[in-house]
Amino acid sequence: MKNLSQKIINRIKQEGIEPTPKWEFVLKNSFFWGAFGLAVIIGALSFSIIFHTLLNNDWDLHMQLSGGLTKFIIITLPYFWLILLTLFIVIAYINIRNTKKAYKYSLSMIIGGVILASFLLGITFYNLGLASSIDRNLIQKLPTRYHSILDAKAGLWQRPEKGFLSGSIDSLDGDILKLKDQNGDIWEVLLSEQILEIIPSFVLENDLKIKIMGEEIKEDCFGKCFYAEMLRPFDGPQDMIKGGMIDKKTVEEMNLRMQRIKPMLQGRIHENIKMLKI
Amino acid sequence: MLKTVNEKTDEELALLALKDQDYFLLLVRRYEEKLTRYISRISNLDKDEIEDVLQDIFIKVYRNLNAFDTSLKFSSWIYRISHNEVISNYRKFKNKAKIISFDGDGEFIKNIADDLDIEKEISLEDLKINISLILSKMDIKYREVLILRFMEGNNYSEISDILKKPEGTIATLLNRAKKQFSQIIEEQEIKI
Repeated sequence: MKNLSQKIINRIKQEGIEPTPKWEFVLKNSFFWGAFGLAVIIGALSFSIIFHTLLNNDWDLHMQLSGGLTKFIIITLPYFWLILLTLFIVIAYINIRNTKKAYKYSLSMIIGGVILASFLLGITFYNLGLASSIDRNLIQKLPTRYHSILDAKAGLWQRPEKGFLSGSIDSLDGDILKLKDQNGDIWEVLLSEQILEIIPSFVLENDLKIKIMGEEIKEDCFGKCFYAEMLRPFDGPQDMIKGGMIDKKTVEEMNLRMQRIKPMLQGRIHENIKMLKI
Repeated sequence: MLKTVNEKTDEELALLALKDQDYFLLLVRRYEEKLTRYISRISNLDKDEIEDVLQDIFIKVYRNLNAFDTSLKFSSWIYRISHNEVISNYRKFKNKAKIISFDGDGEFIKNIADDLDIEKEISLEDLKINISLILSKMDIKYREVLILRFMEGNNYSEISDILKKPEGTIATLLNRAKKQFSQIIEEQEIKI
């Protein structure tokens, strides 16, 4: 054992062993911090889209859309974003565990910290309007058949036989609106007088994504026809403000008008739903 | 000159060793005995195997000198590397039946006996044999934490730096280690 120290020094000299350069360790540590930061940012974006989805989830129409609140929650939970959020929390955890001082903190402290950071950053992103623009852009770029993965409510609003239709405005002429639905089919939508009264005309512009509640017309119609009793922007008025498409005052006016005629509309919708069931 | 070098701290020597390998020789001399003892306490490697592992440890330390975080104690860092090296060799020695070497004095017994409320009943020589037997039967994670605390004399913060676990986890590990130690005494009817 006495010769061990000399053996080691000889081995270092003979094999030309050199200390690894400092920059390699700095680079490795920076990589883990960078990957951690990126994972938190992506997690925060997922969080912001989850807020956005939950806040614009047509809660007021849960009975009509799914028949019950629990079922509505189960159907419309943003599973894709929840899975993505969980995945990036795990990725953030793995990366932070590889940094120098992370071992001093327990698993629950690190995971709690990552969730809190993603949550706070997610709220900031939501308030900056990032959530709605990312959601909208992703949906626009993805083929239609994948829309329901990102947005569960898309499927709920593509059931014309049940009285729910959604898509982009193709053209508008008087009280007839042409709508391109999620499958690319063109619908001739007849707007009820109440709709013409509550929706300011400039909102109904080409390419605007909307959702309609009403009734499919099967007789006296060429092609696909729908009678609209209720219409709202697909992403909800709050997001339209954030997207800069309509101002807040207009939305407040829309909401006031909507409140005034809502009982009447709901009565008619209820009757129609009953008729459809018969 | 020699006196000045000997007075230098481990941390200072580590920085100097980056420029001159001879300073590393001083570090090796300071730690070879301590680490030999530590490895023989936590593993059941024989003398030659320990020497091989030690060589690998010091080479690894030399290669990674630039990674040494000066906010840590050098001793914690070198013990951490040793711990990792022993654990990575664990598969090789875990099935060997050799008894763990216990070369501690009465201090270890006193420390652990105070914690476990044990009264010394037999001679120091018999105690050493019996404690070696108990340590050999313990899980390595519990054995190591007991050794670091009661034989190497590290505090919770240093053990946390060596094992790379939070201090709370170290406290839990120590409690479980003491329980396992007492359990083995009862189950095997070992006198201490």
